[in-house]
Amino acid sequence: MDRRDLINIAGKVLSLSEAPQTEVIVTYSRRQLVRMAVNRIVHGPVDIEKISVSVRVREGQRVGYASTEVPSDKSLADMVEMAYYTMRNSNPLDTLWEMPGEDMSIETDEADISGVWNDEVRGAIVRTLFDKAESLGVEGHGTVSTDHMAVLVANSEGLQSYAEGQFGAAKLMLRKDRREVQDILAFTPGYSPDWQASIDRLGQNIAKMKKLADLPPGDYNVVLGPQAVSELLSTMAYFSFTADAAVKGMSYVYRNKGQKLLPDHITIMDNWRDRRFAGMPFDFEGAHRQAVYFVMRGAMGTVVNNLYFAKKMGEKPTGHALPFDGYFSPGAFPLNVVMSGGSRHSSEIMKDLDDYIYIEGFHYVNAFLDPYTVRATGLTRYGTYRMKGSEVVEVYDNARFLQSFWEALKNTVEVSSDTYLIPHPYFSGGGFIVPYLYIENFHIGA
Amino acid sequence: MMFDVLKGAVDRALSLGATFADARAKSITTEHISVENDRVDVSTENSLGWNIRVIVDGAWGFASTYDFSKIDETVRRAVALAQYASKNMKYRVKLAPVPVVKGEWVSAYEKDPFEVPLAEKLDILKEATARMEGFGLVRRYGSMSFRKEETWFVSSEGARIYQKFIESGAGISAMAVDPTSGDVQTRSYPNSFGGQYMKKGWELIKELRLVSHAKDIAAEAKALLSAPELPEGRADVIIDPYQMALQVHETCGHPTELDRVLGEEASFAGTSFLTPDKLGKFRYGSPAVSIVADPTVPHALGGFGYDDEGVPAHRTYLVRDGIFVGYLSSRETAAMLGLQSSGGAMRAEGWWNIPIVRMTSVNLLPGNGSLDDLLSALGDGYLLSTTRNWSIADDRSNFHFGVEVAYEVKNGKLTGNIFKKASYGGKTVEFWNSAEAFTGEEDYVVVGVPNCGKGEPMQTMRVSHGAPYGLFRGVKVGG
Repeated sequence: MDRRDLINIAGKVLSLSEAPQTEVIVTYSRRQLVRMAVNRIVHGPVDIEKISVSVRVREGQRVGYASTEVPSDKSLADMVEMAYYTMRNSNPLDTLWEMPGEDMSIETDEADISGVWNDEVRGAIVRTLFDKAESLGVEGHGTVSTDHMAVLVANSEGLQSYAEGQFGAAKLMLRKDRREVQDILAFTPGYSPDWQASIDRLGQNIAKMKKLADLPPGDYNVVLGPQAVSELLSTMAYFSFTADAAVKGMSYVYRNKGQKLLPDHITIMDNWRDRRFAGMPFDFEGAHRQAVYFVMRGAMGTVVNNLYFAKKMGEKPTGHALPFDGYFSPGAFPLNVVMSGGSRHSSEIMKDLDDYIYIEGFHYVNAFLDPYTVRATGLTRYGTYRMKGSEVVEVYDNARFLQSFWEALKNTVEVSSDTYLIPHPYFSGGGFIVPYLYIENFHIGA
Repeated sequence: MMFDVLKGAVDRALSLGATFADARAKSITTEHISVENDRVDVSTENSLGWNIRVIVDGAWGFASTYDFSKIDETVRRAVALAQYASKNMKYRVKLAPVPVVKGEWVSAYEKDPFEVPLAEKLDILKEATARMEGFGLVRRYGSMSFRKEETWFVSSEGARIYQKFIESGAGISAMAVDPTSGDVQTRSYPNSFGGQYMKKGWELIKELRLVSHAKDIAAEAKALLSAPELPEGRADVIIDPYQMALQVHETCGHPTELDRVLGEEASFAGTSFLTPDKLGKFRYGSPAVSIVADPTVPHALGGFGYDDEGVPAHRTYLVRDGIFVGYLSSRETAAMLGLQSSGGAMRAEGWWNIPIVRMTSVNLLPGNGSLDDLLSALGDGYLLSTTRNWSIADDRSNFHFGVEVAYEVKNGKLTGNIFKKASYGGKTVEFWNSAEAFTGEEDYVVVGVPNCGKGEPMQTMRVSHGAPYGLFRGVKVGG
């Protein structure tokens, strides 16, 4: 399935529709994934090939859409008919927006990563992880994957935008009983971390984990590693960074727009242009993706939107629309979140700290009980240490925390200059570029 | 026709050196309808594809595609991946035996929901959301979901199985936001996150009577904004069936998945404290607690005739009279543990996924008596209702759950006082050992959970939990 095939499918759909306005999304994806556990390969490896076609038709203030994963002529015709049927039965929308025209069309070349990320490299990673685990008497776990995705967005105004990309990811874990350490690596044309160094570091870290103590409840000064920071931002993105949350009045960012509530060194944005991402330059309705500041030097910025929410809120379109089946809720989502780095390397920051808790990652974070302040509960995971400078004093079992993440950012004393790309757990090609954070009064305990 | 295609793929795999192969084709049609305030949103999708799973040199390989013209190419991909896996590890797959079945199973339903006009469906949701007006809500929401699934399965051992499922689900919810503080309160009926789901037809939607509950939840969502927060401390509590379903799901269902126990989920969802050395002797809960995995329960969302390895559906005890006695298992994990047969819990979300060990219908068995009896036994405490927030330890040994509302109970009666931001938590084993009693069949609900996530790539599975009201003593609440 190549670019021409996707264009042909979109052309068929547009020709089948007699609606005044029609939009089509065609996506092709292929995912190869190897899953490792207990020094063996499990659940596959798998090779999954999918195609999805969606149409949205509009007449006056009524909109209808439908999707299929069967690209036959009959299935495409049935899909268009179903979109008509839903349009006729829908209520008139309260807000209408204009579709992008032909002049908004964009095409990008395939981002080829096969030089640094191929079958040979993936096999070497698997073998090296297993060898390291066996040499230490522990277990190797994780996943190694490659995603190839092509997206075509077209409409009856002449828009035709196409993007294609490849992304690699490796989740590498060593564990034994309750002791576990993990690294998550992303591979794009602009980012290629040293996986061998990562496996060596994991080996050194698990060797430090002799005995796990319980971390008593209390307020602690903590340093969050990049995995933990990506979890923190992932949770905040859902509750605070979207137009849907803003319209409902529960977005901390939008309710406090323009107010300086955080320290100067906190800047958070969505920016697909960061060269470390393999980001798409347009969204699923063909709007060009813009850089959006959620927090700029401590001041609250704005949220990401699609064309519907932009018009409804009187904001400029940011180009973050999701496909039609998620168009209204959540509607738009930040997929390339960047937290700006500070002035000192994480190793320098930690070296100068006297007594603190280092947390590598979080597990099962949820904040539905208090979405406005993002008061989240979850557990620490992949390494929780009491530290003096760079030295480990004590190693803890995973500990539950209950903490408002907005409060945690207010209490952030320092941000590291070194930042890392962590792949998004659910959106292929998305991710987080994050530093280490030094935070005071982080609450451990329920 | 479909069976012939799959049989051809299996034969091709054997000719390429596979010692075992199974192939599965699946057709899925879905319709999701929602009304949010006055905005109607309808999405429909159909999907058809197939996959092949092979064992070559003692290792698995799997490939899937939407394209039925690529039989040879897809089989070759699966075989090559198995060869790759075999080269990169020492472990060799063994499978527990399974009876060879040629069979068919169709879930029971009265009226195909796909034959009901869209306008009729929308009328119910529009009416329900209209009845929530006047309470100052930011979100008046109602939704319905329908799914039709057909599966064809063929194995190199001679299995040939056809199954067809019809599933329906619906619910309504009301969201209120305090314009000053940003406090967000939600009430849902009959359950949060989409409502109730079952393997039933349009009759389920009629039974739920969404419209008649709309005003009540709207009023309660508004009232919660000015309600006090549930005080922190220890309390005796009753948990309602919908929250009980989550409790069973997270603290019994997931930790009894044998692939998880054996470490196969460690790098994603986690592991399990229910290790094999505890099987048959560990006191998981009080003697009042018995939990089974039973996909034969009528209309259960997690029900089926055969799992995705062709194992016939059957009931398995996971916890009997408080003692941990069983696992959810597959042919491979059963063989690894030396069990004689698979527990029949191997399931895949779609044609594109490899099957993994999943919950089926994991049911907490009922006790005796009514909710009024249980309230009398409670005396003073709280009735906790409807899931809002959840977080569980990687080995499932502790949890922290939030519910939409806590109802105060004094002297065995509901006082009418409500509390918001109601959470409870604790250690799994301590919690289940604090169980005193459960209500009987009269208040029993088989709760459908359509969104259980597991595996990499992530698979969203449709499971269910039979659940009564339950009385627990000395539970940590608040915080």
